[in-house]
Amino acid sequence: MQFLRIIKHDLEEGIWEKRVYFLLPVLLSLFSCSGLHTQLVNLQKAESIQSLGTIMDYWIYMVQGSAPFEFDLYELFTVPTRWVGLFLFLLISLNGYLNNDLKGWGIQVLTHSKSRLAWWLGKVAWCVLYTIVYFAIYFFIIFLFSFSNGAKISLQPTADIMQILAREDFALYPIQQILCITIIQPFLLALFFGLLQMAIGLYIKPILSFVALLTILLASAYWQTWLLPGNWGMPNRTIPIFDNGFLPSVCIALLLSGILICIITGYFIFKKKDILEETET
Amino acid sequence: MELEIKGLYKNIKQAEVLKGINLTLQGGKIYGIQGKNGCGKTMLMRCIAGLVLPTKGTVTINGKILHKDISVPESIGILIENPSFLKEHTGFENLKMLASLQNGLSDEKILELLESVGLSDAKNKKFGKYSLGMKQRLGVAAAIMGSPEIILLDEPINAIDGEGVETIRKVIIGLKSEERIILVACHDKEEMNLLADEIITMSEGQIQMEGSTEYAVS
Repeated sequence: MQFLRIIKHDLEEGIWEKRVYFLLPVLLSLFSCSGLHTQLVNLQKAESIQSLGTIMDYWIYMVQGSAPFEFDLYELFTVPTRWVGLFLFLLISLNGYLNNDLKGWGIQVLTHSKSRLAWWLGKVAWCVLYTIVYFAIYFFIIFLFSFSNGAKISLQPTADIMQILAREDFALYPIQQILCITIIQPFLLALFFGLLQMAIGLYIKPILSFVALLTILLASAYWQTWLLPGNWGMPNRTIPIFDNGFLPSVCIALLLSGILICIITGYFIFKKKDILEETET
Repeated sequence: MELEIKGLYKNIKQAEVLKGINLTLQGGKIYGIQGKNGCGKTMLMRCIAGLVLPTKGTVTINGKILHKDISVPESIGILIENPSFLKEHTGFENLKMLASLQNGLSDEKILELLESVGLSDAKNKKFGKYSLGMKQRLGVAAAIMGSPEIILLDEPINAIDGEGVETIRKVIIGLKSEERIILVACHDKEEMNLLADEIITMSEGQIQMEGSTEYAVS
């Protein structure tokens, strides 16, 4: 019961009161959708594509990420802005709430909650729900935009569009497999990053934990390696979209393990954390 | 109700903030802590509230060791330093939210509580518009809400005017019971004399003196 009360409080304070941050996914999805739509209209005029695509084309265009970068003196590394933005805006939205809830009002909440475990689990539940709402906003905006601009309501990617604007492979494999790569993996990665930022934020200042995660995110876009978790949730680096990519099953296992480790480690850090005002530290 | 502190040390970075505190507090009494700024009063309260982990030593509440058997005291109300609430909510709403984290308290009880600390006229005013004194009164109300077994009040009469001080004093004294320990830190020695049954004097992280009000204040 206590845990449920804390969750209710975190939903009210952490989601409803932070609703202004939901403008970030709205802006990013509009930016991504309008960019794709302009290209689709031009391609259709040039008769390179036959239709204005499906909702799934819009989704893939946003979350696909980039192919592995190979260093070349004559070619600059291009940051996959939409993919980075997806995670970056979530980290911005989540940053600071936990630490702010350890001051003033938060101390009241903690003492009234009677348990550090309940308090921490409340924050974990908040992070999960916030991430779900965050992704739901993307889906909703993409749905509204693409549908109102002539896209079909379908989860099936369009082959000719994928060939030009993403990778043709997205349209070649069973839809369940594509949904796993393009929705489940990025969602789990977002959740993992959110929880990791929260756990690290218990040790260091929130802004520093944000910088650390941003560094991991950008490094993941640059290097294709198992060691950089961003690769575990980037569709363009996943088999079968990219032959030398990572197996989705292994990526999901790594992400779930990472999430679990963050929850458990975060609790043990929080259990031993001194809750002091900044002037006392 | 018994609260026992044994060999309590707390270091923050290199500084020893608490140095071997030994103290036993019994229910039914109001204890006052006095001492200069930085003597460790607030840190001691934070240790009792479970907000800070001792570097060495234990805090035992009714036989349960804090951070071993329990992570936060099972029944505690605190007002530590400047009370902080949600600015965009009224005093009533803030208390209602806190009450909802426990077993819930009826709206009538919350209104009674606000009245007891002299905030009935400001119950629908947003916390952000409260004066310092009003904030302090709301902090006291939050600390005593639900009649906790341990009440820690750090400078409860800070910024409160003369009439308000009397109101708060009456409220605190009215809470005295065998099942409850009340610990108050206050700079005003005269007020402490009126409020506390026993005074604990702290200096440089240590307890210098412990005794009845007349003895300690003189």
